[in-house]
Formats: sequence, structure tokens, C-alpha cells
Amino acid sequence: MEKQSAFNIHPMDQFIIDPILMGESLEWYSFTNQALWMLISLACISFVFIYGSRKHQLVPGRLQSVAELMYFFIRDMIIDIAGQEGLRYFPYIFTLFILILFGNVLGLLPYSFTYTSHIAITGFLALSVFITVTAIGFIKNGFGFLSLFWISSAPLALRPILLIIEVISYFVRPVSHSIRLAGNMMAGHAVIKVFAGFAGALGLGAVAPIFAITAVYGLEMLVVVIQAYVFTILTCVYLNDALHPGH
Amino acid sequence: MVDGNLVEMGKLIGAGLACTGMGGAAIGVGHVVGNFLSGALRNPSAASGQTATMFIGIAFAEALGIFSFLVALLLMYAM
Amino acid sequence: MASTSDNSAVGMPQLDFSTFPNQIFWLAIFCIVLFAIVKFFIIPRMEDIFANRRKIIDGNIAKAEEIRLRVDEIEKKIEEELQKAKSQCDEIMNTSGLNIKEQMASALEDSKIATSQLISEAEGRLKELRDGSEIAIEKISEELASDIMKKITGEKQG
Repeated sequence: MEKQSAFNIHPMDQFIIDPILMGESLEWYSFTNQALWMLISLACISFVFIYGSRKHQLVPGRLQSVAELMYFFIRDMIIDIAGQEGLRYFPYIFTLFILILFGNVLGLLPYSFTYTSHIAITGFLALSVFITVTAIGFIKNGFGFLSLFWISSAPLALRPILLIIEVISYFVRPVSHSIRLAGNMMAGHAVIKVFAGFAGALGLGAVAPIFAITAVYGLEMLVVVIQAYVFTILTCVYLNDALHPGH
Repeated sequence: MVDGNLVEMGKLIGAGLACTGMGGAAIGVGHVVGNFLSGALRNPSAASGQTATMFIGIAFAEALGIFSFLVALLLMYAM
Repeated sequence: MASTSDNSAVGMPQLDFSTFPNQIFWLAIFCIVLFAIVKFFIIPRMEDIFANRRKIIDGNIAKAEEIRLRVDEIEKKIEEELQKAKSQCDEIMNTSGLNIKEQMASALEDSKIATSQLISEAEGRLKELRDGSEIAIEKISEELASDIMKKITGEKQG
């Protein structure tokens, strides 16, 4: 699309992937701004979880209590939703959670890059969840896993119809799982960018859009955490389906 | 936009129409949270155990809105 | 990446499929490293902290239980001592009451005896006195009578 409007607004520019090292052209191995922000988020995770709790304090300090809060939050969530046997997959789910959470939160910094706003990233994560969960279902239950689609509590006449619906909704899971996260991140950041463009164009009247940016930013803080939570909780729900397909 | 490009115009109108589907998702999410809240105010002690269920309900209600968003994106960029 | 305007985004950068291999390559590396960090650093550390805390809390609870038992024991002992002291006190009170009664009775007896002795003595003396006085009266009356006789019979006789 052409950009010829009076407002010089490029809300999508913040999502461009730039090779920042190793030349101008984008190869599959080139180090991009996205990879840089992944590295930064890795550093932040290490800071909070490894540096913050290095003293093994009995009464946690600030950083350690943040780390413990996240750790036990996810742990309790898995036990609540997928039961005790879900705890075997705790490292996997916890990795997903902190990856998404730190990506989302760091993306709120000005001039940062939100790697979770890319469909490739969230699609990869959602597909990996989908494949893992399906594999776990078949390994744990054999072909009994297919009873997930054959709802024995429904009347017999309805079951074939429900079978079709269930199968479709099962295969559509990674789509909604990934696009929910990417869409929320992209939309929030684009809205902030659009308001910022208004502020640049209005001169002294920029107070209103700046106020709006503040409000949207506050909302985004909430959305960012909730989306990480929702991604993780849906992973737990899918895991529960795989572990106990009967109900 | 580029004048005279009827296909482009149709795509953009279609994308805009597809986005109205997200309003349905908004209504659905509003229903979920509203009913959760009215139940929670009646029995606040049981509410804290059900917030996870509420978020799952929100996620499922939102999923269908996401499909309309996906349709809009496909119309605008992928076709 | 701040809009340098010559390479501003056309459409959605997210749907630029040529960047996908690069993104997925870096994401895979990131995921593996993060998983390793979670698995080999974060989880052992957290579990260690949690186990430590659990151990100390359990230890404290056990200690508290022990102290509570000891307090119960001490309380029982105090109760026993109190009971014993009470019964002793009762005994002392009882025996002392008897003693006092006895003493009082004996004192009463003593005083009775003493008073009866005194009374009999006094009676004896009174009798004596009375007897003595009778004799004296007789004597006096005899003397008086003889005096009168003398007076009557003549004064020369005396």
C-alpha cells in the first residue's frame, strides 16, 4: 500500500525484521533485531531467575520473590488443570510461559522489538504445543485418545455431528492459539504507534493523543500479562485433554 | 487507494466486513466475564477457584473472533 | 528500525514469508537454550529453596510440638503439686483444729479444777471464819453476860 497521507504514520514499521549484523541481506542465519531481543529477554530471565535467587534465601528478597511467584503460579496452574501427572511437563510449560511473558513485557519498551507479535514465532510455539500434546495423547492412551472426539455422554444420533465439530475444533486449535497472541501484541503496538503518529502531526494539540497513549499503554501492560497467561493456561487445557481424554 | 482497482476495493470492503465478526467475540467475552462477575458477587468465596475457568472461557469465546480477524488479514494481504 | 522511511513496511511484515526461516532458526536456538536454563538452573534452584523452606518449617513445627508437650507435662506437674499442697494444707488445718480443741478442753478442765479448788478452799475458810466467829460471839456474849452479872451483883466482885 502507498503511504501518501499527510500523517506520516507507519504503524507496521516496528515489526520489520532487520539484519543488524553480518551484512544487509536477510539470510536464514543472519542475526536480526528479533534475535537481539530474544537474547535480551534471555538475559532478563537469567537476571531474575538466576542472579535474583543466587543466595537461596529462606525469606525471599525482591527479585527472588518475583521468581518464586512465577514459578509457583505456573506449578499450581498445572496441578489445578492437568492434575499431578501434568507436573512431568512442567519444564516445558514453564519455558513457554517465561518466553512469552518476557517477550511481551520487553516489547512494551520504546524502540524495542516484540518477537511474540510475529506469526512465525507464535505459530511455531503453538504448532509445537499441538504436536507435543497430540504425541503425548497417543503415547499415554494409545488409540483410546480418539475417544476425545467420540463424546459418549451425548445421544447416539448426535455423536457423528459432534465428531466432525470436535475434529475441526481440534485441528483449528494451533491457529487460534497462535493468532490470539500475535494479533493481540500486534494490534496493541500498532494502536500505540498510530496515536504516536497523531501526536507528531498535531503540534500543541498533541496532549490528547499522548493522554490516549498513556491509557492504551496501561491497558497493554494488562493485556501483555494476560495473553501470556492465556497461552499457558490453554496449553495446560490441551495437555489435560491428552492426559485424560475420557472427559 | 489506487483508483479504478475494483478488486482491491472489494478486498478492503470484505476485510472491513469480516472485522465486524470481532464484535461478536467482544459480546461473547463480555457475557463470560459478566456472568462470572455476577456469580462471583453472589458467592465470593468460590470465585477465586474459578478464575482459571473464566480465562479458558474467554479464550474459547475469543477464538471465533480471531478467525474473522484471520479472514480479514487473508483478504487484505494474502489473496 | 525507527522509520527510516526508505524501507518502511509494505503490508504486514508478519506475513513476509521470506523471513520465516530466519525467525524459526533463531527461535529454535532460543527455545533450546531457555529450556536448558529452565531445566538445569531454574528448577533445581527453586526446588532446593522450596525444599529448604519446607525442611525448616517442618523442623520448627516439630520443635513447637515438642515444646508444647513439655509445657503440658510441666502443667500437669504443677497441677499435681498444687493438689498435694492443698491436701497437705487441709491436713494441717484439720490436725491443728483438733489440737486447739484438745488444748482448749484441757485448759478448760484445768481451769475448772482450779476454780473448784479455789471455791472449796474459800468455802473451808469461810466455814472456819464462821466457826471462829461463833466461838468469838459466844466468848463475847459470855464475857458480856459475866460483866452484866458483875454489874448487877455488885461492883466489888471484879
